[in-house]
Amino acid sequence: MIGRILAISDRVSVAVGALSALLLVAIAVMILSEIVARAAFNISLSFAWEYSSYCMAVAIFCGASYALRTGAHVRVSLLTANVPPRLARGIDIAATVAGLAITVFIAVAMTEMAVGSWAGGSRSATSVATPLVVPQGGIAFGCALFALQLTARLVRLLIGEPPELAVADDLKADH
Amino acid sequence: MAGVVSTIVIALVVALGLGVWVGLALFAVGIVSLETFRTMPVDKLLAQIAYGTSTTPELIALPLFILMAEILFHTKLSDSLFRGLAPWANRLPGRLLHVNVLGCTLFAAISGSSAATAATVGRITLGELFRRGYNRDIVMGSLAGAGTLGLLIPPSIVLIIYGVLSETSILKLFIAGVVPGLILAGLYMVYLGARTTIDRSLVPAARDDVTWAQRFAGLINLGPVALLIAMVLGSMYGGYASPSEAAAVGVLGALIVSALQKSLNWTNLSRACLGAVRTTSMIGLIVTGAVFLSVAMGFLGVPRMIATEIAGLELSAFGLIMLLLVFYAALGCVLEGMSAIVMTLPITLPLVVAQGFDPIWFGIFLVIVVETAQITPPVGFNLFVIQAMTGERIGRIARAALPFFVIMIGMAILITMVPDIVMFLPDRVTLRG
Repeated sequence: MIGRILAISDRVSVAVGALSALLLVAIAVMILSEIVARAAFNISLSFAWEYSSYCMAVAIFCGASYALRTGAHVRVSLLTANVPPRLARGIDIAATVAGLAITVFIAVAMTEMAVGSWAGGSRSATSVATPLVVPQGGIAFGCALFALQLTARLVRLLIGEPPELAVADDLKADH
Repeated sequence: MAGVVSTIVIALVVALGLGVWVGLALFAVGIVSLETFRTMPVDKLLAQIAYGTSTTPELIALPLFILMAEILFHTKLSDSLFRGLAPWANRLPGRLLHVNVLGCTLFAAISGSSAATAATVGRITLGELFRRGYNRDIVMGSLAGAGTLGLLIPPSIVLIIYGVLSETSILKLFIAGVVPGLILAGLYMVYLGARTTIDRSLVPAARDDVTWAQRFAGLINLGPVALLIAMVLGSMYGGYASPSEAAAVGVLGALIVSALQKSLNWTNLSRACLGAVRTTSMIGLIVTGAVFLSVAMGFLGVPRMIATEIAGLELSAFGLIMLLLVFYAALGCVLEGMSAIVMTLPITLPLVVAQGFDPIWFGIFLVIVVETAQITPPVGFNLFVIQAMTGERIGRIARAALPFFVIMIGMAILITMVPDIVMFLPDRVTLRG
């Protein structure tokens, strides 16, 4: 039963990760189209920048659960790497609970904002006048999934399953 | 009021020490300190800032450069770089060791990240150099050190984030990074040449025989990199494109190179895209958390308090910078470089600007200093990358990288004494973006 639910949460985070990947591709396509349109036809696709920024925001938050599951989010492992495994697991559980609490706070805040924009019919102050509930709702959705993935991680730690998924041919992330 | 600062510092140390993910830890400290010391709708503020930051148009360059690096990682670019550079490096004292530095310098000009640079270049050079009998330590050390050029030589993910946080021109930052980056690369090469001349056992006795004809013929291998540099840097410096547009052009260029090298297939592409999502999400979460914490600290008057404290020390401008150098180098041992910058910038930037330093200069200074964070244990991304590729212990790789750490610190002191090394170029060009 628990195994089935965890498997479903995995599939959801991979699916939403793939959606975020499409959003990143969409950014590249839109910005390139804007460059071509401006250079060749002297038209500025002003919506390209606006939509790209929404795509980026939604990709950041919707990609978060997939990034967590694959261990891409940076954390300080100084303590956990230097204590006995049992204690390390205890600390990891504490960190996951803390992370979950913060993420729930963020998810609630983002949902309130999106609901507020929807109820008030807020639109962006641009020529395309995007209903703000679309990007804000996307962010809130990503945050909610992030909280679910943290819950799944907590369950995994409690039943003694490895919390992170290995990724093939990984280019270690940094900045 | 000292209670505010100590609460923030303690909360940050506890959250990070426990291993709470950096981005979430930054949010947590902002939430806790505002809820403790202020009566205000923290959730509304948080939502506004998280939304505003994650939709900042200038940040669009970030996912695009990440995507470009991911696509290139799945090509044969590192192999071409090696084959193009090795015949030339063969002439220098220290020979193929210079391929690490030259390869990283060239790759840095198309990549915004230092671990990506070390990983891409190292995947060929490590094996080739070990096989030819070069000393393992100097091979790993020079790769770890030269890989950090990825942050300094534009494009640079850290400089994009610094530009957004400090509200300075990303393009000017990109221009300012070029000369210090090249000087640093030159210093690495001088060091490698000197060290291998003193200790001849570090390089193998047998030398590959290369003719001048082969050298020139080999240059064709540098074609893909040259094409990408021309597309990315050319479009920006030529004044045709903003950094985000140049990044989109770079993605296209990476796809073209990938297609020409016959590495463009569904598996590679989907891996690259998913890899880009993970990195983008990780960095995006840290940046939004950092901006939120920075606004929270502003509400609580923290930067002003610390500025007053520091003013009480009556440091000279040089003294302040040296204090920051020690502070960041120490912070860089336990934190990864970008996190160290975004957490501290709201406090340190006003201090430095008040002393008459240009924010552009400080951006380059910070990048050089946090580059050291990439190669200092226990937390250093370049060390992790090289560990993953060689299986060596972190301690040994860090020791091998130590001379390069010293060179970087020397470079940071040099640009403090001669700020014109950084400011010469950006002061003389006016560009859009």
